[in-house]
Amino acid sequence: MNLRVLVVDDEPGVARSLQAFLEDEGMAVRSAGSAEEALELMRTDVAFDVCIMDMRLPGMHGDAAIRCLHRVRPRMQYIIHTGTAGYELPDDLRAIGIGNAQLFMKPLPDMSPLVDIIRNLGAER
Amino acid sequence: MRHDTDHSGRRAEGDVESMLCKAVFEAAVDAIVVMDEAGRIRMANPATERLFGYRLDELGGQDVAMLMPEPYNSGHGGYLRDYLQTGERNVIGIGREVPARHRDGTVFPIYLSLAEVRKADRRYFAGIIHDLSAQKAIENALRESEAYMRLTLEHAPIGIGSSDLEGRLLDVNPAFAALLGYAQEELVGMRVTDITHPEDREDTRRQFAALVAGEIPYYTLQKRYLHKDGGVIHVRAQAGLVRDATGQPIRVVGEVEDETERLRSAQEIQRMRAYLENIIDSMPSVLVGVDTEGRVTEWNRSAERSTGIASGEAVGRGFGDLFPQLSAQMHDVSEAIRRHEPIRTERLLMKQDGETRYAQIMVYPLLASGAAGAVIRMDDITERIRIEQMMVQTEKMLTIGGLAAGMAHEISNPLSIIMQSAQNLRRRVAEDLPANRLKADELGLDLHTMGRYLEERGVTEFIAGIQEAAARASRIVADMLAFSRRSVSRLTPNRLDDMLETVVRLAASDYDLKKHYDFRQIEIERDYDPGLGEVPCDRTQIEQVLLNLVKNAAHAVADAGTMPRRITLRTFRHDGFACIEVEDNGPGMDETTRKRAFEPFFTTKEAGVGTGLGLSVSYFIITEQHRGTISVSSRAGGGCCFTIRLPLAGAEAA
Repeated sequence: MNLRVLVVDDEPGVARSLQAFLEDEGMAVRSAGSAEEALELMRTDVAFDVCIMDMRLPGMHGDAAIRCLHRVRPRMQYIIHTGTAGYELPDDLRAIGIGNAQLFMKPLPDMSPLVDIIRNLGAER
Repeated sequence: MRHDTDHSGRRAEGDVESMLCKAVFEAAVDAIVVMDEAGRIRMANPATERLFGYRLDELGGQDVAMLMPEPYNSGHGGYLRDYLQTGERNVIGIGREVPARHRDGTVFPIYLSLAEVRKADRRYFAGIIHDLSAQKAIENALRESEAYMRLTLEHAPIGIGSSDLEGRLLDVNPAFAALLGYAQEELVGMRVTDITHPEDREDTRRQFAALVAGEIPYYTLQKRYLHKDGGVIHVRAQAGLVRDATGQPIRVVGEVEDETERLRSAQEIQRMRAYLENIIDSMPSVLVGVDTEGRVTEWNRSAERSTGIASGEAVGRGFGDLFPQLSAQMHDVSEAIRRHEPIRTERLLMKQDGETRYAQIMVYPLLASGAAGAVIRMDDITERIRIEQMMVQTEKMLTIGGLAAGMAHEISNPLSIIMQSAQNLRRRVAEDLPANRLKADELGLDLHTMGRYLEERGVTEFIAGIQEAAARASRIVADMLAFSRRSVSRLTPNRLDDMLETVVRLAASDYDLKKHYDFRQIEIERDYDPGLGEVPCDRTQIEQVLLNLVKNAAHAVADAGTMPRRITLRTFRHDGFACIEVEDNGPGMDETTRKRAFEPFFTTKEAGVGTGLGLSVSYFIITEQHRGTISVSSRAGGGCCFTIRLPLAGAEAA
């Protein structure tokens, strides 16, 4: 079964290129431009295996969004993809199993490592 | 003189004798006065006239008392009477010294001898008067002179003594005795050589002998005496010969001056002078003393070094001639002297061997009395100004770093789009991706031909260009961000050699990847101190610094082309610091490059190869984050060596 990935990023170019790369890897990808949109999608759509979350978003912040999503879909895994220099994982996000390996700093010169992590996370589920 | 009063001879003979007596009487140098029992002058010879100033006719029949001063004149009648009555002799036949009186009232000494003459029952007295004035004057002068000499000797501050011709001391003055610690009497009879320092005895003996032999008129010796307590006394001794009336040497007289104090102060002055010169010469600053005319009076070693002109050549010459670049400063000299205050010139720009250097000039007026002039101090502050400029640059970078942190998010999104899109572009024109083939078939497109088209029209290369440019931009952002991390990161104990090994592996893979150089062709020499232990540091940051240094070293040895290409890695402990050295045998750095190596955006690499921030980030990490130091030095015979010092105690949180 294809891995289902949700990309949350307010920058359409970023979301689109991520989506294209992952789709080429055979994954089913949807994207949302904000945390609110992602939550809305979650209510109507199928479950995702992995969510790639930007941190600085209009409206709800990325880590707040993960807390909300985690309550709705506790089995969903996360990858944090942020352009904030020196970003450190908050303890409560570490507590739900997000490790440093899931932290990716923008810009990514090569997206292949992202694919590897997603596959790993998908396999763990 | 004899008076023959015997008249018993023959008549003719008596006449001759009488004439002879008269002649003697007339010609006698001494005055002869004959008087009767009553003391009246009966006869006087011409010498009496000369001696007393009376004419002979004025004397005849007069009381002899007129020739005597008070109280003798009144006493004379007395003792003559006494004699006549008692027969007690006072002057008669004996002679004695008495005062006499000249017609003009002056009293003068005479030697008086009286002869008694009897004729029938009458008695006469003949007084022979010898003038003692001249002799007395000499005697007085001699006595005065002796008193004077005695007094001088007693109170002279210098030692004076005399010895016989064998060198035995005859007498010494108190100063002489005091100098040697003896009583005056103790020294009498001792030999000059006894009180002379053994090493100076031969010299003294030789000079003394030459003096006595008349070969030299006197001698002067710098010599040493022995104090009674055994101590050494430095003296300046001078000796001369005393001769008697016939010119025969009779004794040696010497004067001795205590030189101990003078020598000590001379030594002290010498020592002080050497000490001051040492201070002046040890100054790193150029110090030049000038008089009011600007002529050099003092020229220290730094001045010699900086100009290549020796002190001996410089002293006396005009300052402006020796430092043509500073001729304008001569105005400051007169100004400083006039105003009695120093004048400072900061950052005087100087060209030296085509290099720009900065000097600080201080002109201090000499304020001590009698020493008009000034001291010019010159310091090369080029290094300080470079560091100041670098600090300003670093501060700027910190500010930029702060801005970069804010901008990073905004920049990272466009960079993400560029990079990710470029990656997708590459992948979606590739032949082997199933999705590509599917779409191509659907559209009737030959992927292989398209691939060749893209290749031959350079499209693939353009895409690679986009990827490389984006990667470079992201490195610059990352480097600038390093400046914004001001907080001290967590320091954990790490082994420096472990970190160096990690870095060598990273560098090797990096180079393999880029294919620019073959890292395996570089010899890595390891000189690790196994006893160094763990050093508190931020592993990621230090690895970043080390990677930077190792990569620079690899570039350097690859450029040099010298074989074998070698990088030496060292760790050691020094002075409370853990030290790391990264040394290469590349071309080394020239002076200018070495000084600017840590400046932000300073790079010797061709455009696009480096960000120009690597070493300044390293500098920032080591100095700001770890409170350590990083420096670079050139090695003799090429190559350069970077040295990092990290405090073993760890950096305190800023």
